[in-house]
Amino acid sequence: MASQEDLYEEVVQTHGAALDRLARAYEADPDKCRDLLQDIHLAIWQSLEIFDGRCSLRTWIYRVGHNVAASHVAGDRRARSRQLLSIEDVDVADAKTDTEKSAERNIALDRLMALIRELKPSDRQLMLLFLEGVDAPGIGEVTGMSPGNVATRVHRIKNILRNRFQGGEKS
Amino acid sequence: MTNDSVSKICEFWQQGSHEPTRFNGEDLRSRMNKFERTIRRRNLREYVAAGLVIGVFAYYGWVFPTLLLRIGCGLLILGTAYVAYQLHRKASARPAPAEMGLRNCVQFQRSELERQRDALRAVWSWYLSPFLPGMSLFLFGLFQFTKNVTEAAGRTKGHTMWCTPSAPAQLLRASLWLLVASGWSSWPSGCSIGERRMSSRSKSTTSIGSPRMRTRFQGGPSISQGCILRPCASRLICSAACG
Repeated sequence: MASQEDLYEEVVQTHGAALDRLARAYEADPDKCRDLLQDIHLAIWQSLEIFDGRCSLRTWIYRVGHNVAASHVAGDRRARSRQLLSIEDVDVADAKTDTEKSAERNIALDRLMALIRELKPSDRQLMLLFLEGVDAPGIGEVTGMSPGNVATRVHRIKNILRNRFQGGEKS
Repeated sequence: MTNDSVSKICEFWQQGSHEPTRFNGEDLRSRMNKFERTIRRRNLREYVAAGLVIGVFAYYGWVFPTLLLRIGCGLLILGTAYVAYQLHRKASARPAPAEMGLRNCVQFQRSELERQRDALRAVWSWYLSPFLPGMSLFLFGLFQFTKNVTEAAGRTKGHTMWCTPSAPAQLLRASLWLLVASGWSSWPSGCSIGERRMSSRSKSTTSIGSPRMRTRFQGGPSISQGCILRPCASRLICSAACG
């Protein structure tokens, strides 16, 4: 069994970039984002002490990461005062975010981040896991949603991505 | 558009980061120590506040001449010690980071909501009611004492206004005042905000409590907010009532 330090090193190497994106998708303010990222790393580092391989390392760190991040959103007064959207309430096609007109890669990424930050934590988790390439059973394992629920929401997410962000791939 | 285009968007998303941020063990330990220091300071503040309340009422018990006032002070000291113990116990009962990995997001959110709900439901039993007997007796004893002193000074009975009715009525009135004062002092930091927060989060199925806040006893008012405020409020009411 690998030591806590070895496992943490593996996490940083294999999922470090995904954790960065996760923190940025939850917190727009750069300083707070850095704090959140450090909190996530700290929680993962502490949790690895008891990691026994009953689920994959990826599932484990996504659970810890999303739970810390969702708690961060819940504790943030500014975020609490904002009305967060369900994935069902997001317009599939939104003229304001038509990236055909401005197919800059960074702009598209920023818009995608902005859209994710508007979502409720449960939908945010799902969207982020989907974008990270986690399959439906994996998403279910991390979030605890039923396979049917995951499938329905993933379908909706795909529609949103197709209609809003197809320009991004052209950059 | 096909599924292929969605896959490309996912790839595009995954390429959006540069070198992953790294924290060495020292960074993380220092973060953890900072966090623990904050908790220790907060706990220390609570215990100092409790000590202050106990000290003040021990002094009152020593200087006040009547048995009723002394019993009231004794009960208040016991009540404060009990609340301090409960705060210590409940503030320590927090989920370790490891639990976040053992439970999926829905389970984690549910357990957090349940923990908060239980804490809020029980706030009357462990936080407010321990003060009631002591404060009621103390106020009642204070009214009696004021009345006796006033009468001994040769004033008319009517001068002390509503301090003169029968003993049960006075006790009831003291308790009512205490309830009002308790509700007032616990409202901003306690139940109402917590309940509202819980109900809104239940609707949006979001999780509760930042890692920092989770270690505090969310929804439960602190001793420094409650215990100090409540006797002050009660004393103000008492002095206003007795002229």
